[in-house]
Amino acid sequence: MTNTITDAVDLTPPDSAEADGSGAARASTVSVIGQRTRSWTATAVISAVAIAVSVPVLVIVWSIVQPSTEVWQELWATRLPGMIQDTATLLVTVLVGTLVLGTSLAWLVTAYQFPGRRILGWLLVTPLAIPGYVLGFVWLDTLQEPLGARSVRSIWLCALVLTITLYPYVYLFARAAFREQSQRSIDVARSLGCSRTRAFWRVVLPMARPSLAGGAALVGMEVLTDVGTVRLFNVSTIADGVLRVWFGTGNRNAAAELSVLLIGIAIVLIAMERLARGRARFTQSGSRAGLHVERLRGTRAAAASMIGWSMFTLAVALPVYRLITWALEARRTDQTATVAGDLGFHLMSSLRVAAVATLVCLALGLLLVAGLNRRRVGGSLLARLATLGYTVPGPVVAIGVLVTLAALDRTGWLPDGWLLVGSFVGLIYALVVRFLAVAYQGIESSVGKVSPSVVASARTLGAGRFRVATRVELPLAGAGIIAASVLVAIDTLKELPITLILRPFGTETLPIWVWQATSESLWVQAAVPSLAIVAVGMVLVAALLWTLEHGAETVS
Amino acid sequence: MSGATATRFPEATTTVTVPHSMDAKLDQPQVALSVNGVTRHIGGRDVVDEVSFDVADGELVVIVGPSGCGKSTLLRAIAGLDPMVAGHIVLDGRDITALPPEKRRIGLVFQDHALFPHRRVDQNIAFGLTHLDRGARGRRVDELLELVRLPGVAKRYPHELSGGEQQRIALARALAPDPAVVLLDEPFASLDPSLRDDVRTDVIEALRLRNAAAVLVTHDREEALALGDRVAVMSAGKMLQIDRPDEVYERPSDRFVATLLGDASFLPDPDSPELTMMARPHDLTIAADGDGDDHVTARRYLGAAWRYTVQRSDGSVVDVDLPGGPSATPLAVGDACTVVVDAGHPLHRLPA
Repeated sequence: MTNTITDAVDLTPPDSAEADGSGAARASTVSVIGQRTRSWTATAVISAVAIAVSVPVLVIVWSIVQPSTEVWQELWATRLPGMIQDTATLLVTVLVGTLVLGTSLAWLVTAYQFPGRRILGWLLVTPLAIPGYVLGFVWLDTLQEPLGARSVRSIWLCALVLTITLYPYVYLFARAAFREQSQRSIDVARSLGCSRTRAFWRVVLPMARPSLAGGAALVGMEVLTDVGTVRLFNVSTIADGVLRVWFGTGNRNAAAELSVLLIGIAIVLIAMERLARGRARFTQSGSRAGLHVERLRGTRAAAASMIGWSMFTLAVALPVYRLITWALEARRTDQTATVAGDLGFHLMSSLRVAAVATLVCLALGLLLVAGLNRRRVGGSLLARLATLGYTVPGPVVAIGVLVTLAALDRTGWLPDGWLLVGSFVGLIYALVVRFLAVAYQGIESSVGKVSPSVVASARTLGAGRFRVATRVELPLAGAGIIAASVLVAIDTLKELPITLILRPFGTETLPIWVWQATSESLWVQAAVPSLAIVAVGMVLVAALLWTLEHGAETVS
Repeated sequence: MSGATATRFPEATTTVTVPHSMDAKLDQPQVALSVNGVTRHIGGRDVVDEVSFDVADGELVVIVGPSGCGKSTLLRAIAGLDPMVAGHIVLDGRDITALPPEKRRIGLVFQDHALFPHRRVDQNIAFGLTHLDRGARGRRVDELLELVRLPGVAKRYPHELSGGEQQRIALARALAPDPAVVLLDEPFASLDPSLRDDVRTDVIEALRLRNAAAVLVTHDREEALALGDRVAVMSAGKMLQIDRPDEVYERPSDRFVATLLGDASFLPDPDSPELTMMARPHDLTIAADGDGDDHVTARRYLGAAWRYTVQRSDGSVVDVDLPGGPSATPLAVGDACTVVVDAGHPLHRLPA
């Protein structure tokens, strides 16, 4: 199935071996990358990486083995039931919202032709560049007047804001799924008595289900992880609770145990989809002619355009306009520097953190893809270990890393005066733990799409394993690899909870600035760093979409 | 030279009628599907150009043509999947031109079978049976699985079946709602040659048992000749000829039809410059004298025969089959020879 975002936005058809579903064809793949390396040193290095990235998560899970009853009793008696309820409400509402919004917008731009369809197809992805905590405070301020200061901070509004910022995940996956489908399924359904609408419900949608679930899973993770947006709306979710317990009581164990709850919910979510899928397949063999596009005319075309443009206006244009007016006001009244210093300093901090984390993720991702043979039990276990962090919410990763680093610091193995806790290295380590999976899966899937016969041809033409990897596989998979890196960059740029807990003294990223300003409801001052995040984010999203379009061309 | 040995071909023999396979059952076969002047444009160009033909109840019409000749497009137009610019389609006496595909009662089978991968075999077959209650649906599914000789696969998923089985299930699904006509678009093209014959036999058998009218599209000439009650030849959007398989093979309407359905050489007609004579390789032979003005330029062993390509003294090139067998002594490339007509019947004449 489509597992990663890069898969979702990738326009190339999956290779036939995968499509026809015969395991034999897949197993005989001659791919050089991911098959070699039996040497002990390589295996040791790769195992070390995989274990190093999984330790912080395992540490957290381990903490449940000896739970401190007092902490639980106190939590249960006070805040926990409310937290669980809020988390569940938020999760369900946002999941339903993003599924409906993302799927219908994806269907609109895939199945219908109307003015502005092409540009809207891309613009509708851009909300990805606006973090929920930015969109949240813009809306908060805008709606404060009409709704009143009390009722504006509601869980429903919070869910709405999260839905608008997160629907692009579902949208991207759904669009990819719809594009992969063959018109013939719809043709057959219609010859068997289904109208166009009924064919959508009975055939198109069920076949897209694994992709939709993939997108929904990402949305679910984001919702579980979010701390910035929920804090704005006074919604006390479990993730928020972890932060509060951490900063409020400093009780490491309590925070860790609360974190296990989050991991539990994440695992249940993933398991539910797996179980529901059963033995069914969702890909079809044979031609992928794509769906026929119906040309809309007159009022229907106008309506389609209007839906797309108003979505974009609501999610991107208006908030950005609002941010710009605030930023100008801040400039005029010279408030830019009062809370946390100047833009250049924060921007550089953010870029440095994002760049280093991305490069490390990319390097380790390549190493893992090159060194792991997923077809072997050990290989797939290591791969799973290395990607564990992505199913774990940010605050949890942060605390797990903190516990791990503190333990390392106590061993005294490091040179005198060196402390990992609160260091730049520690921060990068945590970001890698959390986001390595994004890079790894992106690289893995794009390397996997290189046709086995191309690799075989290169080998028979006399190219060695190394040459095939560097000259054939990596260039062909290049676009996918770049796309995966850009995704990591977007994620690390927006990242808040890990940076909040682990940032070294003097490292002030843009999200931290926004967080500090919004905690005191200083919207005007939050506007400048928010705009900077959105601007860099937009550039990255544009780069992402461009590479994927471009990559599709070179592969097909 | 060789042209001289050909005798005159009497026009009158075309009127000989051999009963269609269904004519035995019904004196006047009821017309199931009638296609009249169907025209389709794609990008301003005629892809299907005023095509008309009828299909009788229980009849299988095979449309054959090179890829891109518009045969699949024609099928889609009949099914109502794409709009047509002119013409009308009558099914069981009812004009269905304006109906959407779901109202037409037309079954569809594609080359890639297009089974729904997320539904089990029984759910696939039952897809078009929403009007039946649960019990009736189950009985219908069993009956169809029996028909395509695959009882016992009901609870499997499509990907758990072989390619041939998938294709038979696709036929069962198309037949389930009891369509007035079944359209099959290159249904056997993606199958392994080794099992293509079996699947073909089973599919045709199932269509016969249901006495279903069917239109099958293929680019495989042997398939067209072997399966069709009638064969329709299409090229560049036009239907060139439609007739019994032996008629289109032996009496093609023009050179294109002649070469599409089998190898053919064309000899000048001594009586009329507007006509040419078609000779299949087995209609020609090489004179025994072992000398002449013609030259062998290539030869191929076909098992049952040797196929010689001979350049004749007038510059034309013809294909000649000589019987194979252990005692045959083949000619070599470069050998001189004389090609003569040895058809046992007058050669068919067609426009030059």
